[in-house]
Amino acid sequence: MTSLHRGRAVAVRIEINFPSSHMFLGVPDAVIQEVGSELPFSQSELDELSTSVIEACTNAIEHGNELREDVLTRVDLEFSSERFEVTVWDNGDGFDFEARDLGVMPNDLMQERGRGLYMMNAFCDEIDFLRENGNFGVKLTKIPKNSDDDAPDDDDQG
Amino acid sequence: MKIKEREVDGVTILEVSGKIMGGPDSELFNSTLKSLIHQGKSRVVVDLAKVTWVNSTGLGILISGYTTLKRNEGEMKLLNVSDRIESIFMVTKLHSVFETYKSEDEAVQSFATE
Repeated sequence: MTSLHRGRAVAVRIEINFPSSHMFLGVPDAVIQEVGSELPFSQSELDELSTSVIEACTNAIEHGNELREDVLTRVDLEFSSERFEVTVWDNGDGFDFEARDLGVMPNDLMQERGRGLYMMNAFCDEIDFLRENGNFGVKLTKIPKNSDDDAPDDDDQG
Repeated sequence: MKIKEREVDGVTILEVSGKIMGGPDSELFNSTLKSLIHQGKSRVVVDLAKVTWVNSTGLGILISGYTTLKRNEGEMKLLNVSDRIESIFMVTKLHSVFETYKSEDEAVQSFATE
């Protein structure tokens, strides 16, 4: 993983598939924390990305795949020292994302649901919605604020 | 999610561990609080020290618990909120709802001064 840290590595891709049940929500969290620890992200940045991915997975499991454990939820992770992109796919129709203002919180602070998209939007640098082959995807991107781009690489040394 | 229950000076401490994320967690948390209310124990501190993460459904569980206790003349306060959970409270503005403490003594004593 050292080459990733030097800021010029080719992005690495990982795909995770898990049954659409709450009990597997910790899996993408564990992968992001493990992989991210080798990248120039702060712990709070990794937590923000991970929290957002858990939100996207919760929506995919509950709404897209309707808690059917025989249907897999897919998570694509693509990361380099410059950005961490995670796309969560489900088999549902998604929602009318163009009609939603993601920066708006529920009016009632004590409302028990309806914060997921707001949290993803607040915690990530970019959020995109995709439709592909009958699947719906939410792509979340996190960019490290203090990457060590200025650090000397091998060519500069010596 | 798992919950361990104990009592300190008339205040119930609920030690929650794992993840607060919906599914069966909601039923477990609600039934625990209802049982406490039934026993006349409505002063509750929820210790989050061993909670790895909370999602938005988990926030709903905490809000529901807070509201349930309020309705029954009780109160729910939070203890040992991690940086990760604190940042979620900040972004969702729930830090203005939940009273949080860093020490158990302080949390328990806060009920005595009310």
